[in-house]
Amino acid sequence: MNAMPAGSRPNSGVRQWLKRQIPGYFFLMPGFLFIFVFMIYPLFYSLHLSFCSYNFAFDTKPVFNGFQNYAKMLTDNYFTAAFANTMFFSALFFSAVMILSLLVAIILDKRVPWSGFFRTSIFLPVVIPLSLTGIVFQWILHQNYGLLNFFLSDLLGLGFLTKNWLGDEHWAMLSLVGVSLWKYMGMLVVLFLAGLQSIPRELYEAATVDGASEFQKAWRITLPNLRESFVICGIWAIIQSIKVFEQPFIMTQGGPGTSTLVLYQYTWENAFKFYEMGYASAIAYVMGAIILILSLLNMKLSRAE
Amino acid sequence: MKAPFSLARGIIFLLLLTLSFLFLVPFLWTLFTSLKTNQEIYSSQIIILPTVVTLEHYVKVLTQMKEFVNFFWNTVSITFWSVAGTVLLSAMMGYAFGKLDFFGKKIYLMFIMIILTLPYAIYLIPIYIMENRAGLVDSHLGLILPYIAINLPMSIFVMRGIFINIPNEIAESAWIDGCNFYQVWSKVMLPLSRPGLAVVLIFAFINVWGEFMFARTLTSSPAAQTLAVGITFLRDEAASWQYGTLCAVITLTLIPLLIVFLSMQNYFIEKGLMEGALKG
Repeated sequence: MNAMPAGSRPNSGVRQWLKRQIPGYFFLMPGFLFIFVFMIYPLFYSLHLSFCSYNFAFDTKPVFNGFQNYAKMLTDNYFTAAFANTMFFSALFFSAVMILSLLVAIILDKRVPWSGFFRTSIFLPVVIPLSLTGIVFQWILHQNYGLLNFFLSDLLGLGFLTKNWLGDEHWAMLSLVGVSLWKYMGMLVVLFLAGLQSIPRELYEAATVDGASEFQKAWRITLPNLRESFVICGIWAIIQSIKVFEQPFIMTQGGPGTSTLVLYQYTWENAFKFYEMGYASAIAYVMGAIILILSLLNMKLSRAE
Repeated sequence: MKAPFSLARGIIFLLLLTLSFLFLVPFLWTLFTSLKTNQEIYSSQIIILPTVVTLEHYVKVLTQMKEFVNFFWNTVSITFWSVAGTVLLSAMMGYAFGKLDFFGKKIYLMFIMIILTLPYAIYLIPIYIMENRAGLVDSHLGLILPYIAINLPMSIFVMRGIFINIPNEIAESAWIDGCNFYQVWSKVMLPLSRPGLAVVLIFAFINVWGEFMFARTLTSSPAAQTLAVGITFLRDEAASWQYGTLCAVITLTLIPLLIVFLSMQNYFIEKGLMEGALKG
């Protein structure tokens, strides 16, 4: 809708055109101001900082230093570790969360009793603040007082499976993946369910008439029709996994050693512990670039065929 | 499905039941612990259900822990203003993008799209530097303003979707009846967009109530800290910290969230999620 009623003389000069802009900008501007000041300007300021050396504690002004921050990453062992850990976490979390949520969604899509209850309980963690999740799980996974080890050894009699879940460098990252699955799976289950429910039932009926097996139906009808869901869920899972922060920050502080140090935490520490704003911005930009590349790749793969 | 599959269906049902149980255990464990006596919490054998239900931890949190009460009111105030700002501004911007025509609309929309996918770290560093210069660090306003900004992009897309689906004729007849462009929005469009407003409100509430990273970075004293951050400090502080009190604090923090979520869950799981799926 335009501010002018339809049918009035179109294009009667610049003044008319300007007048038509008023309502749009009136409704746009107040909010856009927020987005500009707190997101768009920071986006460019951060890009600028990433080419500067700027220690917020000592320097009064950022000093341009070209690609030095980016070059520094290549020789920085902490960065390399954080990068590798983030990729490991992402690959594992991404595949696990996509496969498991799709499976659960397919099961819930068939009429099972209590499906509302199942959906709610799986979705519930999504609304729980990550810092609380972190504290509760830190305790549940504790070697001596933790519920998980108690459950394994005292209730199931599988004492050999008990671990120092967060303190053992082989298990710490896997534990974080587990906690993240608990936290985020519900979101993807709900999104996949929405996708499944939009597939016309007639397709399945026609296939049944033609004598297709359950597997053929899943392969030929369900998966191809879920393409849009794969794009949305995939991008969402990529974003969530690259920006993993609170889980290690609260539960392991990056340890033991550097086994759970992720890019986000390393950015945060550089910026707010060492006040190296330039280097931190550069790492943040690398993260942004990874997300962008993986999202595009995901879109390409999901739309291919 | 018919009888022959009932065994398979039974197994699937049991699997789902186990899965739900796994998702609910941390909640139940926290709740049960908050109701146990210290003696039971620290007994050498782990006790799952409290044998004697006690409210002593809650009483202690509410009467003796001044900091918790402080964190709670900070969270309420910051959440209230951030949500109010997000709802108002996204209702305006969503309307502009959904129903109005203006110069540069596509470019603005594209920018907002890109912003949705980038990690917060990119914004957080400049925001910290800016707020530090403006003296906003460690104030309520210093959190409310960026919270409104980070909740806007997704909210705009939800509202835009709602406004696009409202037929143009409704606005046109209001226009002919003599409403000005502001009245068309406030008197005709807003009442029709209530489902979208509800989705925006719930999402903003949940995002802000438990937000950690901005709150952790942009506040430094209990005067401005929220529960999500305060709780980690409460935990770290001194050895006097106890699991019973910790669980009571967590339960109290979760109650407002659970009330909002459970009372509006259908709304929230089924509608508006597709649009909301891409929050960064």
